[in-house]
Amino acid sequence: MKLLGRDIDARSLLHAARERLEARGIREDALAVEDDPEPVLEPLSFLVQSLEENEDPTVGLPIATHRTGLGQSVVAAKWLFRRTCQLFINEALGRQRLFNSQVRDLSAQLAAEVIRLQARVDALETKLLPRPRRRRGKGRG
Amino acid sequence: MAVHQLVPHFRIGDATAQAAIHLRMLLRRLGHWGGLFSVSQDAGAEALVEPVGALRVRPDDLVLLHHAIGSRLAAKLLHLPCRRGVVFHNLSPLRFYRGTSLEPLLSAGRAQLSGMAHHVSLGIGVSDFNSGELRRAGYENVHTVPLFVEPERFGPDRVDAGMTARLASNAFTLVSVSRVVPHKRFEDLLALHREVLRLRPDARLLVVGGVDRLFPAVRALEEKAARTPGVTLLGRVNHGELVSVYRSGSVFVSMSEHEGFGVPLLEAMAADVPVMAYAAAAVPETLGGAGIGFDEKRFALLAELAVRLGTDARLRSRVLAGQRRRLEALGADHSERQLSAALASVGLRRPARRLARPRRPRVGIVVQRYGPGVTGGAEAHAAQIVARLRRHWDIRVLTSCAMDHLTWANALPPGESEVDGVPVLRFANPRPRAMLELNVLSRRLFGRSLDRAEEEAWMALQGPLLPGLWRHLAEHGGEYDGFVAFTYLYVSTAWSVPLVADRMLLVPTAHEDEALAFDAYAEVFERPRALLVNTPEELELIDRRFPRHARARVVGVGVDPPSARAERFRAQTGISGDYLLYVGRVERGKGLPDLLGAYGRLRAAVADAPALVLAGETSMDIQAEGVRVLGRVSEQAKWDGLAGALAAVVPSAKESLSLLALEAFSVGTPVLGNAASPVVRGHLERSRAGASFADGPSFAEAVARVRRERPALSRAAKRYAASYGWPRVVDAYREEMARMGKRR
Repeated sequence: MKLLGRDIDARSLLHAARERLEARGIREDALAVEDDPEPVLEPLSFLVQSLEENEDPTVGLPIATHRTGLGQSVVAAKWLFRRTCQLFINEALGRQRLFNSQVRDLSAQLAAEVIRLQARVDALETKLLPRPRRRRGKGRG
Repeated sequence: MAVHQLVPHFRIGDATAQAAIHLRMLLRRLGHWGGLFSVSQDAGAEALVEPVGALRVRPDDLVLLHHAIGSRLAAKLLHLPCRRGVVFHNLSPLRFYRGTSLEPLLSAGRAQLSGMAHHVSLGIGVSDFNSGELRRAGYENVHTVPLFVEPERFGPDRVDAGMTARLASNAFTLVSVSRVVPHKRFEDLLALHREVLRLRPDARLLVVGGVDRLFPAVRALEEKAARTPGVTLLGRVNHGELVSVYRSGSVFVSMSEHEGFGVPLLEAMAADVPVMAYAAAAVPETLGGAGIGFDEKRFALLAELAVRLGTDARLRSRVLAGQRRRLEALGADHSERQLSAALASVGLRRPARRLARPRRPRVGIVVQRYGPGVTGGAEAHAAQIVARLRRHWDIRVLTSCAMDHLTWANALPPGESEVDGVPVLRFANPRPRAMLELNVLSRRLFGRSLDRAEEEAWMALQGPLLPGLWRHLAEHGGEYDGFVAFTYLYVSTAWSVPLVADRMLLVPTAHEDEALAFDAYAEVFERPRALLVNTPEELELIDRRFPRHARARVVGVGVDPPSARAERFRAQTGISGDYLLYVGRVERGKGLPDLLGAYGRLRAAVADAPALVLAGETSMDIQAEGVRVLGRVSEQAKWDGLAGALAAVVPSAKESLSLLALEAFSVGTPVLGNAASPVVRGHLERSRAGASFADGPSFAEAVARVRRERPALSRAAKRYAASYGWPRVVDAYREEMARMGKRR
C-alpha cells in the first residue's frame, strides 16, 4: 500500500502502523478494486440499441421502492397489478407499441445514414484538406 | 452576450447546484450575466432557478449544461441556436449499477456526453480527471475549472448548536459525507470502523448523506450499520448541521471508488478535520498532496493510521496546515482565472471599457425604484443625488418598472423615458415578489448557518429580479465612466455590483438586518471601487461584518429645507395643540407597533399628551385614541408639519441614515428616536437635540423632556443640521467619480 501526502512522512507512518499491526498479530491483504475507465459510448448506436430494448411499453421496468418496512408492500402491489392487469395494459398500449417500433426503424435508418455520411465527409476532408506543414527545428537551416 | 446554465435537477445542497451557483458568482466577477434553468428545483428556489422552458437565447449567448447523469437537457442543448458548452461533473461508474434502475440513466448520460462533443464549442471539466474524459469522448476545446468551497462557511461560528450538542463526545470519531450508494463503498467505511473499534472500543462513525434504498445492497448495508456499534447514519442535514458533523470528527474518511472532484474533501479541510481518502479517480488531484491518500484498502492498517492521524497532535497540525494551503490554492480566485481562460477560448471577454476621461462623466445610477410618487429612504436618497449631480455628470438612471416596494409589480413601461429631464432606463421584473413565500423562507433561513445556494435563493425571492439590467451592464457597462448603486440588500444592486465593480460606487444604506449575515453579500461590500456610507455607525457595522470591505467614506446627504409654515399644516389638517410627527411608510417593519404601544401608555398616564400624527403610505390598520393617520402628504406639507411638531419620531430600529431626523433637525425640531437604532442614537448623541426611547416609560420621559426643553433642543438641532450641507456631499461624489479613471 502506498500513502500519498506532502505533509506526512509516508514511509515512517506506514512502518509504524505495520509494526503495531504485527504486534497485534495481524496480517492483511489488499482489497481488489476494479477501476478501469468507463467506456466511451457512441451515441447513435447506443440510442438505437436502447430504443430496441425499450420499444415495448407493455413490458414493465424492474419493480423497486426506496421505502422500507410496510412500504415494501408497494412492491407486492405493483407485482400483483402486473399479474392481474397485463391483458388491459397490452390493450391500452397496443398503438404505442406500434408507434415505438416505427420510431425505432426510423431512428435506425437515420442513424445509419448519418454514420455513412459522416464517414464520407471524413474521407473527403482527408483527401481535400491540406496536411499541416511540419515546422522546422531551430537548429536547422 | 449572456452565459446561461442548465442544471437538470436543482437541489440545494447538491454539488451540481452549488457548482452552478459558484460558477455564476465567478461569471459576475468576470462581467458576464446569465440565468439558471432547470427541469425541476427545490421549493424556495423558484425565483433563483427558472424552468427550462423560459430559456430564450441570442446567437452570441453561451449556454452551459451541467452534465452528471442522463437528462433531456442534453437534447435541448444540441438544438439551442447559440454557442453551447458542457460542464462535466462525471458520471458514476456503470459497473456499480448493472441491473438497477440507475443503469439506463447512467448509460444514456455517457452516450449523451459523446453525442454532444461535436456540437459544443467548450467543454469544462471540474477536474483534470474529468477534462481527460471529455477529451476521450471527442471534445476539442477543453478547460479545467475546479470546484471550490468558501472556507468561512465551515468555520467554528457556523455550526448548528443543537447538532453540536447532540454529537458532543470525547470518543474517536470517523466522519464521512456522501450519499449511501454503491460506488461510495459504505461497506468499506463499516469495515474500517470495525477495525478502529478494536483500537478504540468507544469509536464512532458518523455518516452524512441520503440513503438510496432503491438498491437492495444499500438496504442490506443499512441493516448491517444498525447492528454495528457506534455507527450513526444522519441522513441529509442542513448546512449548519453539516459543519457540526465535520467539526465533531477526529478524521474525515472517504472510501469512494469514484469521484469526479470530491467536494466533501475540501469541506473537511475547511472545517479543519484531517482527511484520509481512497485515491480513486479525481481524488489525488483534489487532495493535491494535502491530507493522506491511500491506494489500497487494508483496513487494519488504515485503522492504525486513522487513529494516529486523529490523536497525534504534531502529525495532525502538520496535515491541517497543508490542507489550509491546498484550500487556498484551490480557492475561488484560481477557478476565476481558469474560467476566464475557458471563456476567452470561445471569444467571451469582458466588454472593453470606455477609456476617455471626459469633463462630464457618463454615470449610471442603479436603484431599485425611481420616479415621481416613489417613496422610500434609499429611493429618495438616489433622487437627491441625481438632482444635485446632474449639473456635473451625464446621468442615466437604471431601475425597475416598479412603484410598489412590496411586490415590485411592473407599473411603469420598460425602456427609455425621462424624469425631470434625466434619462431613465427601466427594466421589467419577470417575477413579482411573493411576500408570503419570502416571509416563510425568511423564517426558515434567518439566524441559521447557510450555504450560498440558500442565501441566493432568498436574495432572488427578495428581488427585484432585473435580468434586462444585468444584461445591459454586461453588454454596455463599458460605455459608462462610473456607476452609483443604492441599497446592498436588493439583487438589483447586489448582482449588479460585481458586473462593473471596477467603476462602482456603492451607497449600501446598511443597517442591522438578518440578511446582512449572508456571506453572499461579501461580494457587494468588498468588490466595488468605494463605499459611500451615511453615518459613522453604518461604517462601524460594515467594519464588523465585512472587515475586508472596499475603501469607505462617510458621506451621507445634505439637507436643504424649504421655507416651512407650521400654521399652514395645522390649517390643512385641523390639528391644534402639540403633536408628535412621524413621516414615512406606515408599516410594521418601521417600528410602528412598538411606537403605538408606548404612545397608548403615555396617553393613559398623561391627560394632555400630544397627538401622534402619522404621515405616509399606510399599510396598517390603525385606530387608537390621539393618533391621526394622514396618509401620503405633499413635500411642502411634510416640511410644514415638521416645523410645527413638538418633536419628530423615528420609531424604526433599522436605519442607515434617518433622513427624517436630519430634516427635522434642519427646521429646528427635536427628535425622539428608537434607542435600538445605533444610527439614530448616534445622531441624538452628537446633536444633543432630542431623546431616545426603548419602551413605554422611557418614551413618556423623552416626551416630557422635549416639552420642558424644546427651545434649547431646537437650537442644538439647527446647529447640528448645519453640518449636513450639500456642497460637501457633491464634492465627495465628484472626487470619487474622478478617481475612476485611475487604477485601483
